[in-house]
Amino acid sequence: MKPIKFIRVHFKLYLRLLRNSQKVALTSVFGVMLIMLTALFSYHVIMNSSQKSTFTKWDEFQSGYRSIASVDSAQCEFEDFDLNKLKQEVSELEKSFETGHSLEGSLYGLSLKKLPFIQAQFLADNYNLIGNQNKSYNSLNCKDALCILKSIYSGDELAANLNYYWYLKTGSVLSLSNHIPAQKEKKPGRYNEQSHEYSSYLFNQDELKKFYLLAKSLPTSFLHTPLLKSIHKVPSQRVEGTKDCSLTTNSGEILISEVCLGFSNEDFFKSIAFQISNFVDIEKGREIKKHSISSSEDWIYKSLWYEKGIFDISKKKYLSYWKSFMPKESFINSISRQSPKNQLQTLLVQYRFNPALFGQKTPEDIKNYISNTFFQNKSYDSNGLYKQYLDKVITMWSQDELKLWSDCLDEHIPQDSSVSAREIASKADSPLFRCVDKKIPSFLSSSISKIKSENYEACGFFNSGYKTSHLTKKFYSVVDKFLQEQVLKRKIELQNHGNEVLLAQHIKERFKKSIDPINYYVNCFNKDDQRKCFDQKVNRKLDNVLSKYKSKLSPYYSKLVKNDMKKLFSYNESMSKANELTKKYLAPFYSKVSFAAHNSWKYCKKQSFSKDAKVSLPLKFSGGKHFVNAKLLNCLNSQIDSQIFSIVDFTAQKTLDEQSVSFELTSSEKDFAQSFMTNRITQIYSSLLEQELTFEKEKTKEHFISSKEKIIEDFLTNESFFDEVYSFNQITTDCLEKVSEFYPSKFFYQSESQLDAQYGKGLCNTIITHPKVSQKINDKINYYWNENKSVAQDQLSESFADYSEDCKDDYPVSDKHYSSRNKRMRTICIQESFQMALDDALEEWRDDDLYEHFYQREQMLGRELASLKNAHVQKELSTN
Amino acid sequence: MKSVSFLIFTILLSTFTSCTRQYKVAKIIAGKTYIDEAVDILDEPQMVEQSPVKAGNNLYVWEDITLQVNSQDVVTAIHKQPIEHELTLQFWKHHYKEIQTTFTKIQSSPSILWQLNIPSKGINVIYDERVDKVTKVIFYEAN
Repeated sequence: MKPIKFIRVHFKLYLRLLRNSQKVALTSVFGVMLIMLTALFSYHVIMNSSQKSTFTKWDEFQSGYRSIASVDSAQCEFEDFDLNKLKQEVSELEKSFETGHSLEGSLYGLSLKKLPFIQAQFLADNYNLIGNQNKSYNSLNCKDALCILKSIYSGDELAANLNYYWYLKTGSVLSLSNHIPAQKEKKPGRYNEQSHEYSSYLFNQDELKKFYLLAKSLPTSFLHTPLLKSIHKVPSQRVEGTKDCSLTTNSGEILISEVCLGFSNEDFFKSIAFQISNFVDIEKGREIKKHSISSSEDWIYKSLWYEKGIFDISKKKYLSYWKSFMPKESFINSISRQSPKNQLQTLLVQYRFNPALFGQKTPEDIKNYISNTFFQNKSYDSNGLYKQYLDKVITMWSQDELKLWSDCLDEHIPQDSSVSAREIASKADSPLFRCVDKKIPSFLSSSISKIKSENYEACGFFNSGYKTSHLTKKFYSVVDKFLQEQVLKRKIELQNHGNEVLLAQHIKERFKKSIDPINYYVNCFNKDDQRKCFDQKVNRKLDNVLSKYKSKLSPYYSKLVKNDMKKLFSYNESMSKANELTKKYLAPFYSKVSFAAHNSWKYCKKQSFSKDAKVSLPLKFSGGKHFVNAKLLNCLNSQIDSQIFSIVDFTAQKTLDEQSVSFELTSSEKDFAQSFMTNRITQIYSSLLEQELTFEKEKTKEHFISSKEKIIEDFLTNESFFDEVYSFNQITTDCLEKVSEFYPSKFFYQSESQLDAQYGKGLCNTIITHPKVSQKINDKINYYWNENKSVAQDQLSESFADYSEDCKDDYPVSDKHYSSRNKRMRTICIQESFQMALDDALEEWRDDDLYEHFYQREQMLGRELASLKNAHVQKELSTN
Repeated sequence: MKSVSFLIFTILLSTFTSCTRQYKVAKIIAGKTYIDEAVDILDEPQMVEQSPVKAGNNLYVWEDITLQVNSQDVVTAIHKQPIEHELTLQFWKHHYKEIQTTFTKIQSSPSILWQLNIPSKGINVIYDERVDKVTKVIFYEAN
């Protein structure tokens, strides 16, 4: 019998027995169940054995990558200042600013159009900060901005690159000009009444190295601060106007003396960061619609400050100082005890550069406030740095993981492959896993290099000899575990979910490409609860994306994928990125904004001049401490909101595959951008105002010098002016009014009363005391005085005559009987009535129109009239 | 709807309260009002301390107001926080642009303080340059 026939016959017999015998049926069911359980158990054993082998493989890999990841022998980028490395950094930073725009015109003999945009902007926006202001630089024969800087630094290429690096990294300029703003001396090359060599205004290589390190140390909120424009080296031991070695100006400059520049790295960082923190304080304050954080009620209340001030009425001078109810030991140093602003600035500096002292001294609520408001909860003590670097690696992993797996999946599971993913992933030593494992060390190595190149302390942190070495070890250990877990998780997913993992990779890639968390953050910028809004938007988008794959992904795995994808876009990271990116995005537009601000200023000045407009409050640009014509000020403020955004097109252009791609801001992005640009524009306006004010003051001075003779001449020949001159007070007022006709036709930054005080009064004094004029005035005054005096004299004569007549009537001397007595009485009566006549005369004089000009002469007039008594009395007595 | 009504009511109430306070302060006149009259208007002060400038003179301190009082118990100066539109120095410069004023730096550190003195009106405006803000307005007896 053939075997197949044998099986078929016996199978038919078995089925017949199964139908007829219950016992056989039961035995069969148990048999099948036993087989199935055995199979399941075997499968589980096989599966478990494969997980273990992955752990083992990973452990093997660990030992390999540890040696690679160790940076004991790694070169520390901060110490050797390798010019090539610096050039590479500069080049990478330059690329990040490329918007596809170009600038017209030429500077230093260079066509700006041919330069990378950020270089063109660096030159165009700061041409008055680059070079000896007493020299022309048109024949430098340079092809780029760095060559110009190199020429200025007498061939020192490292200095040129270090200087430019600061600009790219921070957005402010290390001045190369020999003109120091906000100083008494306006002439370039002179400071503190002394002439200085041009080179003494330039930061030298050692100083620039400190700035380079500082740029790497500054937290994000200190970089690209729109209110900070430039840092100037003062060729002196002290800065004019302060006892300290550095100073900030209202128009966005930091002035720093040689003393500060000579500090150790740590003290230098603190000193400069203290000055920058002034701008950070104001910038953050404006975000909450306050003048600054330190002057906000919230800060004053939190740090228990109150101001003690007294007005010295006799001297008309205000004296004040700040006191805090906070215990003395809660302040970091004596400077911070001086005012809320100094306290805040000190705290910001110490938070970054002396976190241990900050933590030890600062009360918990203030600590949290500073951390939240200014540092996005990042801290800079050893533990904080450890956490920051760990977070960075985790973030970098979440960004790179997808590509890393995709590359390996593409390599080992081609699209047209008939082999399933689960099949490939079923073996622990599958080529796919080997590919991923191989990529891990290079990922870690490049991540650490990146951290080191961007963070000053990272170099020390990853140096095993450093005091944080136990944290460094912990860092590697935690990162190892983290990467182990992450890779293992994916491996298990691949083994368990097979093609679902591939699909999830595909979804993630599409999602990553299609969603921009920055966009969500920007769209939620004006919302009350930004975080909630952001999370809602991300969740909605995730649900939307995943719903398209509902039939292909199991609900369980779909949930896993969703959680995974959420990690790609955290709120804090997105906020930080949005701020950083927006600042970077907008930085190349600063020269355009500057250009627009200049144009707005010109436009506003061209409007019809009026002295009578009222200031429209509130003002984004206030004019600071200077007087600004109200119409001009209103116009400038209206330009901030409307015109500037239409003048400056915030559209970036990039070239991709020889095709131009444009990036145009949406309205909500523009709103977000506006919060940065408004500060920048007000800073540009402030600088412009300083320049304009100086220019106008010089012009006004010239105007009065050149027209002084003409004005005096006009007064001398203008007879009508002297028609009515009653007193010097009156002629001074009249003169001021008359002189104001000779004032410049437009003056924007001085009020008329200021011009009166500065020029008008002096001119009038010159005019009035001019021999010819004073003679004329005296003649006129005497004429009117005599006229005015005659009113009193006439009245005196008239009244006295009347009173005398009455006396004569009352005491007739014709009566012989009483003749001698009446004569005596009449004399007394006449003598006494003179006083009454005098009173009448003065009364009449006071009613005269000219009295207001001569009222000060009343006593003199009284004495003069009294002196006439004898003559008048004698005259009356001599007549009957 | 309820929350809107509540909001409007709160705004109106706070506006009324602040206006009332401004109105009360306006009734105190430097050189004329006695301190007991001022206390009647403003309620009890939080603190009374001796003037560091002149012996016998005192400072009466409220949260938003400080009064300088001479030995005859007459209020000689009223220190007040500026209200919204008074925070900008430009407001004061323009409001008194036709009157003789002096604008002088009074302190360089820790704040850069300036004072705009308007003697004919008996007003002294204190301005902090570092934060671009009027921090105090002082009323005293005009010349």
